Amino acid sequence: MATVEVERIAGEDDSGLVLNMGPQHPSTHGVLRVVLKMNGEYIEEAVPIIGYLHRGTEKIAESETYTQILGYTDRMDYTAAASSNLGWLVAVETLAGIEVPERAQWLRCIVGELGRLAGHLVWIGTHALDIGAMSVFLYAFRCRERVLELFEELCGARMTHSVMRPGGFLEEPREPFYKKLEDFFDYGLREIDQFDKLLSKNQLWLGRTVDVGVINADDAIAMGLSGACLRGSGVDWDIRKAEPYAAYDKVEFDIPTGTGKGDVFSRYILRLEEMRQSVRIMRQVVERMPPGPVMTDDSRVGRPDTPRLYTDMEAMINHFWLYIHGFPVPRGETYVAIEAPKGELGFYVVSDGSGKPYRMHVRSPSFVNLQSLPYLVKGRLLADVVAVIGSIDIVLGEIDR
Amino acid sequence: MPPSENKTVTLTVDGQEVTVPEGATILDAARKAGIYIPTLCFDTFLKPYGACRMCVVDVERAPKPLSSCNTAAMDGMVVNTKADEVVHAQQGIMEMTLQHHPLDCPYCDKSGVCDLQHTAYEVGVYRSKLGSDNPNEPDHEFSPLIEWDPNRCIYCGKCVRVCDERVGDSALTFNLRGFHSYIGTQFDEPLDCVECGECIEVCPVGALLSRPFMHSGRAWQVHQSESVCNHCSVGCQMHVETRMGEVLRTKANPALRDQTPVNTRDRGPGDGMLCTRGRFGYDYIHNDERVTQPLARKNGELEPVSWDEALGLVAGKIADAKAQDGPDSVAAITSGRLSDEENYLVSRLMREVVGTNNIDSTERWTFIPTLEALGPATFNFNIAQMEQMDAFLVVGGDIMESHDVLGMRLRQWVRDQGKLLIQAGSLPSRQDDRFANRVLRVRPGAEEHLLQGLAAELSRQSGDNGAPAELRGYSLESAASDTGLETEELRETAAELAGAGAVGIVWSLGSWLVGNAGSFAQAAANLALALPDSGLYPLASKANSRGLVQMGAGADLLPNFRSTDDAQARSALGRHWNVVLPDALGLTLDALLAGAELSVLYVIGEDLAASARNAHQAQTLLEQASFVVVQDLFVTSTAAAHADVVLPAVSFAEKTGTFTNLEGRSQRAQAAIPPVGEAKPDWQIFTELALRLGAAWAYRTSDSVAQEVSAVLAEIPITHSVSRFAWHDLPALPSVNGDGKLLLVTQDHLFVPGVTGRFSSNLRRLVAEPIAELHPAQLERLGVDDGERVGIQANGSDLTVVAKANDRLEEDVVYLPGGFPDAPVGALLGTEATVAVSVRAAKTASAMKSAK
Repeated sequence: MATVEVERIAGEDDSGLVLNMGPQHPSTHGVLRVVLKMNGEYIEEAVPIIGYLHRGTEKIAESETYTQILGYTDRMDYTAAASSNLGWLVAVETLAGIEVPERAQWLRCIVGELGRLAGHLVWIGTHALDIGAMSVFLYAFRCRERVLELFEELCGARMTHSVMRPGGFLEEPREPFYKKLEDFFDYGLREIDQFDKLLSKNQLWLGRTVDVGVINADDAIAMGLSGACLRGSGVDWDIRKAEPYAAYDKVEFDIPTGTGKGDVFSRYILRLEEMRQSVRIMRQVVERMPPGPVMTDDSRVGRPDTPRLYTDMEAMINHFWLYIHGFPVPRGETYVAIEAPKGELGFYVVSDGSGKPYRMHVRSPSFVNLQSLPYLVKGRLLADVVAVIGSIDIVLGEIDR
Repeated sequence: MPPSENKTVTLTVDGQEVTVPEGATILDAARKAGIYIPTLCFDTFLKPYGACRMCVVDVERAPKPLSSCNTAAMDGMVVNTKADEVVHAQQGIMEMTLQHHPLDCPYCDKSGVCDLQHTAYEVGVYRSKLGSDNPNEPDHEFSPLIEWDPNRCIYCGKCVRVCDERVGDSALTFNLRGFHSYIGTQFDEPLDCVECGECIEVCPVGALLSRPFMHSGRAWQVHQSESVCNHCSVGCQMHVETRMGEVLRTKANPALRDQTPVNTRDRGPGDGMLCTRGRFGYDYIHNDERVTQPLARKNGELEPVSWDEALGLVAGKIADAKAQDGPDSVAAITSGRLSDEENYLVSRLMREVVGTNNIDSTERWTFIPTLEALGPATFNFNIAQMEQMDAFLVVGGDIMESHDVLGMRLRQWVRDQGKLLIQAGSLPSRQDDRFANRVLRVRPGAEEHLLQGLAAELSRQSGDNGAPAELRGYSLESAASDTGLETEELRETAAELAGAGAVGIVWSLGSWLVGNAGSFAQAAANLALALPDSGLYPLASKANSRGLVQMGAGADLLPNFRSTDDAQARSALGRHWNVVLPDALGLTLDALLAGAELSVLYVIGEDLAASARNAHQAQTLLEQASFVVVQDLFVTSTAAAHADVVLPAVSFAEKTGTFTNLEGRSQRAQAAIPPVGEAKPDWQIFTELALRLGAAWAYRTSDSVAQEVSAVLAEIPITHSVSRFAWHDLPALPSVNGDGKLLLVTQDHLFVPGVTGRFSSNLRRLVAEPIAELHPAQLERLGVDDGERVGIQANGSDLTVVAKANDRLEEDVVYLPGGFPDAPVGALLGTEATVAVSVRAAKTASAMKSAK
């Protein structure tokens, strides 16, 4: 397909230059390849070519239990693995009808927002770097390190952690986690302000972002855009508000829509605000989170405590059956979406009644949002391509799966 | 109670209305409605037992919960499977079962496919209320293949029942009572059974274990491939369990043992069972002695060479032979262990590429003469139709030894449906004691005389039925004196058969029949003609004996049992192959052995030096052939002594192909693992050879051959012929009247299925060394103890084997099983059914050492 497209835009005559960008290109955020038809310095047509990171996650999922698949979702949007985990779990729990304890629901907001911060910090660092603002990258990754340390405190892993499970959490976070988290709030806000100061009024930044890659609200909706790409055009759509999951219906937060102009700058400025809102959400959770268990007491789903395995035959037998065959999910199908850092992350799951999905499909936000690239860069300068890619905020792990 | 087809009952299960045939149980009804009821001791194959009480349900107006597996569904019944009382009872039973269950899941073979794990999960027992006493008793080793873990056993009795109801051996029982109860043999005698391992298969937990398989793979790591057992011609469907290119074990196809009571799936010829050979005889695949690389003889030794060199050598020799001595100086011997496609290809290779009809196999001695006597239609039967017979006359070799699973099914028909079984032969059979209504122990070799005698008697009784005068003239008295039976016994047998309705005459085309298969088949046909509604059931010996013959891999045979004389078939096949088929008569195996000087002899899957009936002739044939190619899994005695090139072939588990069983049912075996080492599937070797010899074959898979085969078979249909009465002079039988000699008799042995079986260390655990059975009185006369060696001499051959006492044998008989390549009975017997042999005590190896 890729070859056909390239041949098509190259045309039969030699007019114009066909320029290949990627897949090994630092500004394409992974292994995205874009074939551009140039007219001088201007882009006549752009064709994104994907698939270089395809691992067959959806097919693999058909032979894994619902719990095992969790580890594969980490590897989709690896910049914000927690969000992918959460999306999968919400879908499975909906289909299987699993009750998640209240405290776990609140805790999931913390993990979800930490994931959003981790994702957005990668975005701002690389986006700024692509456009030429070198130092922001360093500050962003310094700040992200603190977020990853929080994950490390939570479960020991920093990037791909799978700390949540169907039915709640693996275990209650240990006490230092909450303390470190509270320490992070002020620090994080200071850092966000710093990005704001470095970029938002910077003439060079404004020159590269304002009125670049514009899409209006109608087109954005028509293209199925979601997340910041949609909100940047002035549509205040956020699944956390529209169809709340975890405990998002119990916390207060705003949906920033940037300048509403649908350009690169609008998407930039609203993501900065989203990060502040994330901190706001987490503050509320830490204050108001109820006590209680973080894992469901339904033994058909939750594993028995490890110490019991050594003495209790019932626990042993329960553990083995659960881990070999997974918990059975009633026959049926569902589509559930969450608000991931990149936009609407949806999982379509079909169950045949066994412990493994019959079919699993991912509606990944990056995949859908990337469609807007040819539209956004058409007639623009070559240099705008990197600004637009950065502002769409894609991750190829999620696009190719 | 067999469910009646016509009447139905309608009941309500969990609010769902279900209609089932009258006689069905509540469990049947629930499963039909897709409602899960936990069970532990239930098995669709076994009679309802109600031991575990797991399947209790609440029935309206019943005073207490009823076990659903053995309560008949009745009209208007209202059943609740999820009532609190029911769930509470099930959980209570499970808790008590688990209290005494050891915490073995981490290393139990059953973990992951365990009924106890599943049921505990489903009934919702997750926390212990009673604690666990984690018992730790030592295992009981029932036999070299089967052991029982008393700790894991839940005493559901499935093993005891399957052995009784399905296998018919009743080897296992509950010993003692109550808390002291344990599974074992009656009075703790050594296990005496066919070692089929059905008990392992049905065990819902990991209590009965396959000792060879133990701890070799976890249920969630293994990959399963559908396959067909290759050890006899019944064609039991099975699964091959593999992990990382290694066959871990074979087991019955679980789809055939589906626990849904209303399962209507055809369970295949094996009815979902396997025997000792099928369940344990797989490990030859990974035997260290497998040939994994082509070998060529250099300076007298077989040395590893590349495929290119080996095939170049073989193709060169065949081309040279063709050019110098003509195509008829090349001959091939194929085997019933090869698939349909492979036998088709080897026939094509010889006929098209080499240009000779010199292709034959050991089926020349059993299957082909039977085919000639009875016609192809006899070989198209159906085990399901066989079951409809009212009586069975089983003659010759014990079919529990040669076709074990069919034997088990026969036992079920006889016992459950009250059918008549007459067991006739010169050796004791496994049916004699408990299944046969009449046992006729005839003199060795006199099976044919028995059938002719019965046919003559029945013909005389029925007036003019077309039997020739010679047959009518064979009096009951002479039959009695020939067979060594009483006249009265024969007369009663004839009367029983005449009054029994439809009689199935069953005989195995095994080693006992070699040499007189044709005349025996005619005798069987005579008896069948004298008995109205009777059926003939000759049981082919090897997995694909029938396929081999049907593919036309015989000197005088073309596909679909046509003769090479058949001009129409010859031209049809020639059109397919784009060649004019040779019309010179091919050399049959007998003609080859009678003294043929060959330039190239190509021996495929057959240990000719050991399996040929006349060992001296085979020796001469192999020595006189200037170039011998052996294609096999192992360096057989033929290969070691005579081969110039050895081409490594693969087992059934490493190739895809179809095998035609004794009914004529073609079943596909799927490759489970890649070939071991550099070995190649036979069809691939034939194709590569043909290409080197200038043919334009374009086969890329075995399935592409199969497509061509079906086109060829469709074009050359089977022609039917009808059996007719015929008389031939009955052979004189050797006698041993006090000259110190014994009569040598052979038949197939369950634990010794030929070369592959001898390379299966699992089966060798049962029979380590070649054995011969003698009457204890003879052993005493020879001064030999049970287990010591004896030498057997006849026909200029001398074999040393381990003597086993068997007091059920006649005193003047020595029984040496066929199928030992290391003690080939054919060397002694020649082409006779029985010969007089002299037996003497042989010094044991240790005794000889000390003598030195």
